[in-house]
Amino acid sequence: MPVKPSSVRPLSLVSRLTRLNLLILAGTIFITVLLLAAVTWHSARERHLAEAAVNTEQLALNLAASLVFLDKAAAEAELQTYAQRQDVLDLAVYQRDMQIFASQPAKVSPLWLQADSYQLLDWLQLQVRRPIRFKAETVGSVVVTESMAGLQQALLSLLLLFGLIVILALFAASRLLHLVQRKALAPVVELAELADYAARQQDYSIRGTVRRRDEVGRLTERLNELFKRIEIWQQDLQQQLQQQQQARMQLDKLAHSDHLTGLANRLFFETELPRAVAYVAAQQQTLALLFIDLDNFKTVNDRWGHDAGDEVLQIVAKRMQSQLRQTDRLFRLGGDEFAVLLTDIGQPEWAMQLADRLIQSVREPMWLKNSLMPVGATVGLAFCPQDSTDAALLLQQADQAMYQAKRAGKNTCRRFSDDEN
Amino acid sequence: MVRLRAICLCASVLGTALTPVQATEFAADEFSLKATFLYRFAQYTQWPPPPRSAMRFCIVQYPQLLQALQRLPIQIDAKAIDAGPALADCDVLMVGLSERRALQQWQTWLAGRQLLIVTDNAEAYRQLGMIQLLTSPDGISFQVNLRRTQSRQLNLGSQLLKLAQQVD
Repeated sequence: MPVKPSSVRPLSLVSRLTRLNLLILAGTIFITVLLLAAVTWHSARERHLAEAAVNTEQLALNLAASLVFLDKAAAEAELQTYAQRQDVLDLAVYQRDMQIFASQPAKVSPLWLQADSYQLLDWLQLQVRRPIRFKAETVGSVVVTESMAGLQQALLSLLLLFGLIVILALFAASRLLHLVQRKALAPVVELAELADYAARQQDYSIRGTVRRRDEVGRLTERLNELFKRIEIWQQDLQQQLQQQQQARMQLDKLAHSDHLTGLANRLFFETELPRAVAYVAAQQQTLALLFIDLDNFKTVNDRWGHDAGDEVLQIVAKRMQSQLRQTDRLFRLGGDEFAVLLTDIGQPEWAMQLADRLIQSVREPMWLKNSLMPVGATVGLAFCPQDSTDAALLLQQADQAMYQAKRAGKNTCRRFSDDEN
Repeated sequence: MVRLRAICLCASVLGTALTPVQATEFAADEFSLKATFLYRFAQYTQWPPPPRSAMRFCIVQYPQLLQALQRLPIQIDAKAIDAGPALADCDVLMVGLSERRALQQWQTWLAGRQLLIVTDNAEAYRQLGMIQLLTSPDGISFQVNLRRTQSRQLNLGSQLLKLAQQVD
């Protein structure tokens, strides 16, 4: 059982599956990254706010003495130190009567809430207010307003870095997926190639190799069974076709040949004559039609029987055939009538010489049943296009020429001539 | 003008129930500001055990400051003293006198006592003061003699020391 060697090459199934896998992978990573970014952003903001609240508490502690002793310079120095922190927008120290004691810079953000203590954030900023206490006595408050642009920038940078890593990872995954899927789908690809090869070459003798007893293995088995059935059907069909072809050829032969002499019959002659006339007319050549009638054939039949007559016909056919070129065609039109088609004869005299040779060959002594058969041949000739370019008329003219030869004496030949008619 | 604003600020940061009217009354009073500072000095100071249940402010020859202390919107135990025996139940001593001989006498009385001694004159600070209030056009500031406070086993708060104009 021949098995076509497999050569796995990337097909659309592998690429499509790789693309689908990558799409799902990229989509999942994208959604995960988005969710992680949202959670990170949320928790980072909360953490930032919590840290700001703790730092503001510390600042309030540090500012208590300055506020108590009205040391504005010390308070501003404290604020300046604090303002060096990243993301701090402005700081303000309020006295109990809400007069600004110190600030950094001079113009500060308005209070977000009228409360002694709060910590609030919006999308890009946060504000924390804490009371400044000294020995359980509230002597003022400090308000810190911070930007979250730095946090946002850090998160965006992280996302960008993560995005680059994901792109590199996806590129590596695509190569790996392609390899893995090509390996995993190799049996399927091989099966597809097998079917493709069988369909293209009409060769169902090939078989797939079952590597594992999985779905693909079962599919290979079913395909092998299918190929086997098709192969049997194909062989049966081919056999039937051959038989039919042989029968047709036999029928064709029977239809176009004379079973006695093996020569082409009248039916074939009637097909070939118009074709030959048309051919020489197109090629500007000369066609000679020789109409041959055996002399004394009736005598042979009557005296020595039809068996002898049939044998005479076979011998005559062989003798005349031996005088012809391969391109010349000899027909038995029926009874003791024969015809010869000579194409591209060049000179009409050559046809006349051939007719003489045919007559001489027939007249050679022929012994049957211990008797010399008295058969001869009379030949009438007509030429295309000299005499006619019509097949039926040409045949009629050759027939007339043969009768002219008969009238002139047997074992002779005549060329068609209008004058003699 | 700057000093007046400082006084207003001080009044506003002190106490829990100062009204605008009361603040105005204090506005022109430099002694009120000094009284406030005195009160805050006591708050930033840690005495050795046992802990004080109530803080007593003793004032030596400084009736204006005594009045200012008594006018503060919080309850303060303050009294004027003129001799050493009265020091027994004092925690903070505000010295208003500047006479050298008198100061030497007080130095004798104060020997071994754990008191926070505050003054606003240079001579008193030189002889026995721990904290001196300094008046300038920009307001009131102070300097600290840390060695004396340590010798009397008193601890001044770091925030207080940080704000001091000078620490000896």
